[in-house]
Amino acid sequence: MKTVKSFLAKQLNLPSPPAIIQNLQSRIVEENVNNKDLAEIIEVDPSFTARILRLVNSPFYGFKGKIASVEEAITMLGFNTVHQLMLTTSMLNVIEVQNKTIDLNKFWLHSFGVGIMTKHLLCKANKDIRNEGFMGGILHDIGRMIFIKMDTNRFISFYTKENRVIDLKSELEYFNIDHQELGKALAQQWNFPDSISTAIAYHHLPENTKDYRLLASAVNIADMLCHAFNIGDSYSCFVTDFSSTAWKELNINMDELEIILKQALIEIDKSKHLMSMSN
Amino acid sequence: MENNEKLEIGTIIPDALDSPDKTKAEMPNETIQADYNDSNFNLYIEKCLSMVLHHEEVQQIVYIIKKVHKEFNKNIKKPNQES
Repeated sequence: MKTVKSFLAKQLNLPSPPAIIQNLQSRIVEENVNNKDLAEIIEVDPSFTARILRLVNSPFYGFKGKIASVEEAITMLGFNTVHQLMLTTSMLNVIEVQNKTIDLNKFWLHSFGVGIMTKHLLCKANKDIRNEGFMGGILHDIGRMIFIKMDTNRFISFYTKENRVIDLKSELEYFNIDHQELGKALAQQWNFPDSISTAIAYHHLPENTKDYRLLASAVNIADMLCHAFNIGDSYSCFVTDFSSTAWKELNINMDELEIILKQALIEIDKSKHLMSMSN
Repeated sequence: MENNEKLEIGTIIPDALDSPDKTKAEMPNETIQADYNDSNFNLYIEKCLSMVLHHEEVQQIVYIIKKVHKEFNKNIKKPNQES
């Protein structure tokens, strides 16, 4: 952990959450704060409000344009989900990198694909876990995006060099940190719930965590499935070995998997226009 | 998104996996290499096939992926969107 902190301090100027998020996080610990109070904090920022309403009315949540206010969104989805949604969208916005060499649309398509696939794989879990899976799936490779932001040429040199073995160990040797650890560090800095930072930290090795293993397993299998369907691109030919532990953790049979894949692919296809978060 | 940015779900599973009961011995690797140009994607397929050797679940998953992929392209993609 010391290595991670040292790396972050020396080599990165990691972005902080926007003021509205910090304000929100300071208010939610207060007693007697209600949905209306929290909605008013969010509605101070029109772009945040628009982004939240656009997402809660998207196919991701199935309300089909029926939610007209932030307070209603909090009532329908619960504050935790809206809060995580704000954290996720603002992090993606802050991390966004403008680069002509790398097609980031493909990166976001893969990220959202994994988010949607994770949510569907967790169909037997409760709503809160499904929502955490959605966010964790979107953010699973956020560490890799920081590598791009930090030094695009170095990123390209590492990930596109022929015959290079690309795995967590080689990432660690090249960047002094692997993308799982880096993503986890950023999630913790932004006060994401432990469930999401754990899913990011263990999405390649879900069997290595006892905490939130279901979530990490769902992201792991979703990542594998999205690679198999060639959904987007995470700019890595590093393929996670199939984890029997992760698969068993999901408790899904093949008939269920077929239904899940069909539903997820349709939702990914319908949601393509939402996958550029900066627009 | 523009049409040229549409979701690309590639043809990914070799015909040898038409049946989930087929074994590695029946899978012609040269066919896989001939069918796919993208080097990263080839690596994925190779990995995927190597996993099939050890995990019956993966063999079944790959079979389901291929089945869903075919149905998805048939039912969802319009004729002028075929890639």
